[in-house]
Amino acid sequence: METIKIAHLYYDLMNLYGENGNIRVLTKHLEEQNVKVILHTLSLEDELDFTKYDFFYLGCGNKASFNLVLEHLKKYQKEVKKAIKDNKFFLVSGTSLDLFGKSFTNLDGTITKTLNIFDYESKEIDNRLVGEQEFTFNSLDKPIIGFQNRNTILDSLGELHLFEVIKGFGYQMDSHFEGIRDHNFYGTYLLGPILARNPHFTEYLVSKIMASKNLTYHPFELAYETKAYQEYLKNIIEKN
Amino acid sequence: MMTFLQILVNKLITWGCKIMKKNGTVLPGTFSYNMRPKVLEKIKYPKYVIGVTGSSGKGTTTNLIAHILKSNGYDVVYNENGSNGIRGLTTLILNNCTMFGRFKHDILLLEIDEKHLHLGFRKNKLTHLIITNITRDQPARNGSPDLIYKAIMDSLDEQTTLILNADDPGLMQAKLTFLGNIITYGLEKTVDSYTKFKGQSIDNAYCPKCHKKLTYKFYHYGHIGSYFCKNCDFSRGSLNYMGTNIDLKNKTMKINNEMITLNKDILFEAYATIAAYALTSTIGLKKEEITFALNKNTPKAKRGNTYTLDNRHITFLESKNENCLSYYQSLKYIIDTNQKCSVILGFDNVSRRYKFNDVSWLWDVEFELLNNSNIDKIFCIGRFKWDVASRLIYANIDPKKIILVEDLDNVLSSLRQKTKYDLYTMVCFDMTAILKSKILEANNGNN
Repeated sequence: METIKIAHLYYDLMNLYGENGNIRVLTKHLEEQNVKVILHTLSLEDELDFTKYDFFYLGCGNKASFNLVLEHLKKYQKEVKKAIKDNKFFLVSGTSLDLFGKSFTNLDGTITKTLNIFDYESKEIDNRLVGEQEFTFNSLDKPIIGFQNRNTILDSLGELHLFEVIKGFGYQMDSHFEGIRDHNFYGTYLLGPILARNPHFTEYLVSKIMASKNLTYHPFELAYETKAYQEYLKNIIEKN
Repeated sequence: MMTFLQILVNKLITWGCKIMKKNGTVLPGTFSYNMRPKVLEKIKYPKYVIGVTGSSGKGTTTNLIAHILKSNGYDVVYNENGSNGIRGLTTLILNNCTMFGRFKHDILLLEIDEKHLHLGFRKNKLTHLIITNITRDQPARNGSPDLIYKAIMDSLDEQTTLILNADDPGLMQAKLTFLGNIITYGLEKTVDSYTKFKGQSIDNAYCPKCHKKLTYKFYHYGHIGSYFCKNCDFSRGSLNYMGTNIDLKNKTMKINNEMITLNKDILFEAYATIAAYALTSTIGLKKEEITFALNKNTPKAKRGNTYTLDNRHITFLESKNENCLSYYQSLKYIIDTNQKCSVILGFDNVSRRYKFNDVSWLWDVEFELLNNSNIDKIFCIGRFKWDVASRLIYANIDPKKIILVEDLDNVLSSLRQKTKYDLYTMVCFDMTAILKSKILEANNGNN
């Protein structure tokens, strides 16, 4: 049986918004594809080997956690860059997106160097951007939904954008673009269980992972998730 | 002069609300506060101004303290209606002042919203502040727990004596920076304590002093328990008030070796009780006075009212949305009854304070506890029923057990047809009101 290895990075620090939902959803539906899923939860006290895994997930954390993670992850900057080039899958949600740019400017004006994987700078702001979001993703017909609650912005012009904003916030409050996509790196300010809330995105991602391993993808049904997605779009997002 | 006017306005509107039979807990304070927000700084306060704040357990703790103080003849005023925001507090304080701004009673006791503390007590400091715990709670308003902690601590200085739940390492970091007096309380291991972390997400997993991972001797729930750092001297340490021999089944515990009766058979009641004990002892009550009050009739618990539907019990365990530990409390209560039962879950709005409807927190709730043979059916109601049902599917709950009630008008008939067991609701506030009114209607006005 083919094996897919998932690394849930900094699970005990970057876990503010039900991030475990993404891991559960991914694991369940990969297993249904008849592959063996090995999941490792890794954090500050672990050595990270970016060649060992197929999929990396990193969620949202507070500022103190962000700084601890940054310090730890800096040691692996080259490995992370290579893993992205080698088409390993990355799903990055919430404030973790700020780790992957060139720098992070704190509210007091001090600048922290970040991983320098992508060519953007992030900045802390003194208000929070909070609310329901609706985006388009050019590989899928139906919109992506989710929630944001952040006090950072980034200055990308959108060359590597993941989503286009229908309702909500992009890189900055009124930017048209949101998120970063490069090879199989998917990064977004959306919080928490993005996969649980967007069954079509889950199907897309599972099919891409299967294809990357030259395995046959078997379409699957996500009846409850699809109904939840439809109801939320109709009752909450479109009514706002 | 302005203070005089604000007190007058406050009292007049309160009087008007009484005449009109309206709830006058917030409206008077809204007017008087808006005239000049600094009014609470102008009041001449009594010797004791006690605050109780934290993510959960504030109301229960405040009620118990008031009960102990009143039972011993103290003249105490407190916000028993639970209005804990700045406008509710202003109503209460100004109504209990003379027209010249002198507080008329011996003790002012306030349950205070953790984000409103700095609004009321910028200049005049509380003499004592209990912090019950800080957990993830209402993130659209509060952000992350560290921001709640910061908001509380930024309002304080060394004039205030802190009374802390030492089982919460996020609170005990105050020992590293707070210059005032700190009194600690905590609970010793119970039969329900566990040594390997369970649950979906943990806050404060790392030492606030040296950032190495904390080691737990045991957990009570979430990140609450007995912990220490292997790398430095940060730990729960020895406590001023320690709850031992905790026997929830028989509703008893010992505090510093005094036997105490608990009001309810849940751990959260034990926390409220020891917090109340610590506070009242700190301000000088004798242990006999405290135990006398705690061991006689204590105030009626807010949660857990039981109604009947046909011949079955339906118990209302309200759960606070966006607070996974509040849900945990309800889930644990249901499972610990060890009785075959059905559960009702759901809400129409995530919050009553704001319009945002984030549902990510559903994944932090340990719904896995419902994957239990004693659970017959789970009824999902409200606008987010499919989000709730999706989450239950990933808790490996058999879809046959999950009933989605599309039309709330049919909820009672659905309950009657699909399950014959006792019922527990762990819905949020909006659904509680609807369900109670439907049951009252079905029972011709009786519970």
